[in-house]
Amino acid sequence: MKLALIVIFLTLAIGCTKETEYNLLKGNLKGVVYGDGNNPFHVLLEGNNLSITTTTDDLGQYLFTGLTTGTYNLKFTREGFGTNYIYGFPFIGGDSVSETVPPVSMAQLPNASVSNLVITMTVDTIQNQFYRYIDKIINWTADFHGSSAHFMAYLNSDANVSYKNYQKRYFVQEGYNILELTDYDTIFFKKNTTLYMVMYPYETTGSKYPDMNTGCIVYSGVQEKGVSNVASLIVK
Amino acid sequence: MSSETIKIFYSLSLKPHKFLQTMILGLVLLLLGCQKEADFTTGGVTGFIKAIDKYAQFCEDMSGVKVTIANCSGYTNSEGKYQIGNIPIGTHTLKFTKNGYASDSCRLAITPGKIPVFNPKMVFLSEKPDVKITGMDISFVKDKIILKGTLSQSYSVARFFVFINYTPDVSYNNYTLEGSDFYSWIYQDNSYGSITDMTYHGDFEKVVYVEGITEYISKNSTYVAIYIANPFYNYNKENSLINAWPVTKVN
Repeated sequence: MKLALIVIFLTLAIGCTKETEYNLLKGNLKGVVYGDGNNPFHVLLEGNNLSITTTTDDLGQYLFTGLTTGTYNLKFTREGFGTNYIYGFPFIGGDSVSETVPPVSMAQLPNASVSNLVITMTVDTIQNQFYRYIDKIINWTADFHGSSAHFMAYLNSDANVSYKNYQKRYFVQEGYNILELTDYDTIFFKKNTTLYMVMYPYETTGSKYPDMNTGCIVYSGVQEKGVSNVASLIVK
Repeated sequence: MSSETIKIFYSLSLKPHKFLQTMILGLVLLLLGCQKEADFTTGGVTGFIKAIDKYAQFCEDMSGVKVTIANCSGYTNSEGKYQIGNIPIGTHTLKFTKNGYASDSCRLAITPGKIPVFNPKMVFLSEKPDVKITGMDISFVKDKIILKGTLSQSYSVARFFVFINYTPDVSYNNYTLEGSDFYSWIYQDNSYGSITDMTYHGDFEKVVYVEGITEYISKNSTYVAIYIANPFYNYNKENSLINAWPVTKVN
């Protein structure tokens, strides 16, 4: 009789679980990673108590099979490349066709760095080639080291400025040492406040993703190790 | 325990304490089974909003925006981030509201799990301008309406909207022709699209392009409704536009 009672409870418990599994769907999740033409890249999928790693095939494609309906994070890596993320992907499942996540581009990080960043500000009212009224100009100088052809400048009113915590972002290049701020940039930088700026070497081909603490868009091609000093000025 | 109950236990070949042990084991099994169900019937959502004040400046503190979804709700933190859990799975409407601000909403599928679904939509909440128009002169030149007047505040920021119809019940959702300032918008990385100067120091003079207005006036009775909004309004006219001047017949 003891056995009979256990069987009854087990049946109830399994029945309860089984009903849930009946309502859940299964399916496959696929995607593609673009890079330098060489594979593999590593793809880590996490969610629903799973943590699975796979690699891309010769065409950069990857596939996760037998996934349960749920919400998943994906992380894309390879040594020497900027890491990419897809956060909170809603996977429905239940279809014979694999669901597809957005494609990801991996950028080979440049072997470069920036130092001795110095910034000053001049006030002028001119019109640039886009017919925007330029109100303030940031003049900058810096020393570049290594092989990078592209650099990114990040501005913030917070001294803790970085590529994950900024208010404005500009592409910069050697030989054109100014950043033009329009009258509407006073949205971000008010008169007599301190403006902080850093620069990074940058490879343009990488995807971007949101930083989950600040909401800032992170460009995966940024070479974090090559960051400059934080320069500052008082907004005129 | 009655003697009758004890007799039943013995007839089932179970001593009372064994019976209790079996019951507890059974209940644990049941709980485990049902626990699993709870994990797969709810999910979460996370994302970011941007709040812009009535002077078209980003709010330094973006907290206090209420986010509502399927009878669940939460508030944004100072960075504008929200995260809500225990939402029934399915497709729901997310609503974003704050007093004095134009609300926003979107639809999102919530899938189960501890990881919240990331809402990719960039949500903007712009504060409604509290300025009023205290004087207005409306004139026309070829395909343009010229609005000249005075605002109730010495400094304000606003975008103008004009709606034209041949009946006096003209409004933002009942019109034949419309016009407004140039577009302005902010991308997710804080760069922005075309911007027209929308700051005013008491007096204003605004040229609004309305294609076909000259011909329209020559053939119809013409009523004009004028609205203002935050320059970074979120394209939801019903939530964002403020009636700024009584409907005016211009011919």
